[in-house]
Amino acid sequence: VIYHYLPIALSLPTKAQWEQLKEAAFSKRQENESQSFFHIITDSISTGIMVVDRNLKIVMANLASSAAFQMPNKELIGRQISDLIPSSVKHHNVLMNQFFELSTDYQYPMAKGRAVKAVAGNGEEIEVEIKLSQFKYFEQSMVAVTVENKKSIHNPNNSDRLERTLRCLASVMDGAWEWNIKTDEVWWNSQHAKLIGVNPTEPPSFRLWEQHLHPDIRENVLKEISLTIANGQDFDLDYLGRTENGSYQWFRTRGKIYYENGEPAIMSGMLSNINHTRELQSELNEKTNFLNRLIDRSVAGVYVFDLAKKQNTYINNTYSRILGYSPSDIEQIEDLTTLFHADDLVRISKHIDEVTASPESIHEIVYRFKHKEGHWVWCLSQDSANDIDGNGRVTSMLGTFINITDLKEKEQTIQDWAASFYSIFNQAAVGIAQVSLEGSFIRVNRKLCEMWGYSESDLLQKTFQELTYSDDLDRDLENVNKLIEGEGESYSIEKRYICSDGHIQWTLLTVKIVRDSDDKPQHFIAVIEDIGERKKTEEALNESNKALEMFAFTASHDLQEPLRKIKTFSSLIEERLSGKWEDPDARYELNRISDAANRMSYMITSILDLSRASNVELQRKPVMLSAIVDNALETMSVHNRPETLNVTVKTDVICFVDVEQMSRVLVNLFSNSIKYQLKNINTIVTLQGHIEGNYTIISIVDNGPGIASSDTESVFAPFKRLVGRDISGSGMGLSICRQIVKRHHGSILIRDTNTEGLYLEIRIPNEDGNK
Amino acid sequence: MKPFNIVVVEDDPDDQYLLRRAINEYGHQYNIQFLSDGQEALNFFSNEKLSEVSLAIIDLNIPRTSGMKVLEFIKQLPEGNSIPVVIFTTSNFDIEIKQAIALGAIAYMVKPRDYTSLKESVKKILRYCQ
Repeated sequence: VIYHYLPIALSLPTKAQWEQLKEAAFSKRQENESQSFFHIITDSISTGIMVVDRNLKIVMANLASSAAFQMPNKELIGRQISDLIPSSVKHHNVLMNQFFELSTDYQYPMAKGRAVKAVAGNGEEIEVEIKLSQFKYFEQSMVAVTVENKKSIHNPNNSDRLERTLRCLASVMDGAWEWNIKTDEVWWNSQHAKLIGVNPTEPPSFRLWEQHLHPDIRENVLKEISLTIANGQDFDLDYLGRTENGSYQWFRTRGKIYYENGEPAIMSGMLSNINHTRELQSELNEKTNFLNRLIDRSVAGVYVFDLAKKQNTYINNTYSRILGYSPSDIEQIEDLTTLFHADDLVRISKHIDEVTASPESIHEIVYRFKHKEGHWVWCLSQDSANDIDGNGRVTSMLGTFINITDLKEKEQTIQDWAASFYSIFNQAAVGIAQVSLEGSFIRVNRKLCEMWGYSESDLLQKTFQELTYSDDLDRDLENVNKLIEGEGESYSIEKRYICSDGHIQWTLLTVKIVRDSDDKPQHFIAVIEDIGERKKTEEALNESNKALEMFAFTASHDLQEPLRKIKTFSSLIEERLSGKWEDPDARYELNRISDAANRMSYMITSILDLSRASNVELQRKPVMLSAIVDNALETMSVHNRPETLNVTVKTDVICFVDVEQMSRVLVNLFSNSIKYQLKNINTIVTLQGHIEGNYTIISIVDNGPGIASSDTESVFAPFKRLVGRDISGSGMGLSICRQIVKRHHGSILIRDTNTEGLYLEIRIPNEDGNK
Repeated sequence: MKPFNIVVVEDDPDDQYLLRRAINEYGHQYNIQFLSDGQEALNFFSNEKLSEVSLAIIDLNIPRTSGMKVLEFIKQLPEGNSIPVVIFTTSNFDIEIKQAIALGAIAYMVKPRDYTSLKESVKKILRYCQ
């Protein structure tokens, strides 16, 4: 309304106005009246109104403005506006200049007044709130200034409220801003300037703020803002903007649009640097994601169990993986306890009681849960209180569990094994003991207790050293120490123990050392077999063998005696009757006696030989086959070796034998070859040797009649002769040979070949088989 | 002519007979005295004048003390060394023969399987002692 009348109020200055006034001269009175009316109206308004021309000179002022500046109206008109609002009040001077320089399109008033410091007529500094608006008057830009004394517009209460608001603003790091949408005028406080990294003295402008936006997002942010304005919405925008130190950080700006006459006029808001929050947020997001992943990928199933509903209100992925139920499956289960194994229900119920009784601790339980597919899953679960209601009652449990079905099955298998091992251990027919490295019994079986006549508890108090018969202790300890020092894994010896009743028991002891994964000895497992009976039999056998040997010796020795007499006296008779034979049969008969006696004598000598072959101590050493053959032939030559014997060693070989004994074998074999050479030709014996693994193999071939395949084994029996009396011999030769070879732990056999002649093979190990 | 006294330590009557017969083949000038066990032999050699013994023939296998002991006893006597001792035995174990020779026996005769060889051995011994 005021503006509407302003052209009339300011009708003096321009030529055009004069023209207009001339034309309207006839109604001058009416005009004066109108002018008066205008003055009355303007003077009656409590707000000061001034009009400033292009030269910033005041051309019109009402009473209220006179009052505000405490200056008579006449003095006010014609003054420079800068007299009232000095240029030292920089901010508003700039504001004024800027305002006048604006384009002609800019015809909106300031939505809100600005508080400025001004100088009153009496030279006092006063505070007024001014509001500017531009208009055209006869092609000239004019500025209307409304002035209000701050003291009048702000009552003490208002002032307090403002101060309070300012304090609040200052106390936070947020910046405040305002933007006049119509005039594009921008205001912000110093905190805002600081936040966006501009000098607080620099006049705020939208462009300045725009420059603070990160170039990459600038366009989007601006689009967003115009969209918000177009839609008339409040806006809340996070963006990346430049800070004081030039780096880019996250900001949040929130604004609200204020309307004037139904049109958006002002937008006010706050700016916050949310970089820290944003960082925290992103950290929180990361952590949340991590935790979610962790929970879902964990080996443990996780659930929240609502005690009242008897339902799981939360389950993780692993829960589904282990038990087969999806979260929606779980939702549909009305009573989860129906899926527990009936045998576990009592324990589970007790477990829940424990959780509710002491909610702050973690409670563990193992139970079976029915898988969706119907089988049972063994779960090891740890539960604690999740929610506690106002009365301190636990309403839900938080639990984690793992699938221990495999472990349970293994445990069962181990238990089965242990049970079966225990029964084998205890029911074994031999004594078994677990013995510490020092020698004390850690575990003993029933048989061992029976064997030694101790109770299990008595035996566990003892050491094997105490129970070992003193003569055998050193030998045993030596073996034990070897095992501990890592020489071998086990040993086996025959040794004696002293039983509880004092009798000495022969046993076969087998000891195995048990080591841990680092090869460190842990204990021994000893298997102790009662060989008392065997030992007795062995001793009896030894005695009987010795007796037999003695018998063989004495028998053959004593039997020789009468034979010698028979022979001697026969020869005596023969000599005595020499030349006096009247009955020709008498001589023949006497010869028969002598002949039989000779044969018997030879047989007795052979028995003596066999007995010696079984008992003589062997002196084994490496020797060439040819050397043994030479030795044999030399022995034979003493006893008139026949000229017809022809021995060849075709392939020589080294043997590990007792030379004397082996020579006897060869002598026997050569003698046989000669003996059975029925044709009137030379006897040819060929020997060949070779090594096969650990054995030396000697083959002996002759050109005799050979032996029928049915007799190849029986010829080795003592006194076995295959031919008639016309061939001399005791039938002990091959028995002696086999005995000698056996004592070398070797074998001798006749090969059944299609070729003529004898094919005999001797195999002798190259080391002492007793090892 | 100094009488030729032969002492024979031999328990077997057959061997006594055969020895006497073989010695007598070479004349009846030989006095033969038979001692049939070891103890008797030890007594004899401790009491008799050993210088009168021309030859001792000892069987190793005799009752009460072995022939080897008798030989050892003779050889440790001051005059024992001058008596020729011949071992007469069935055994032909090297070790016994070696031991006897080591103790001072001059020869050993293995008890014969025929009379002819016995006669030969006796002949050699008698020739050696004369």
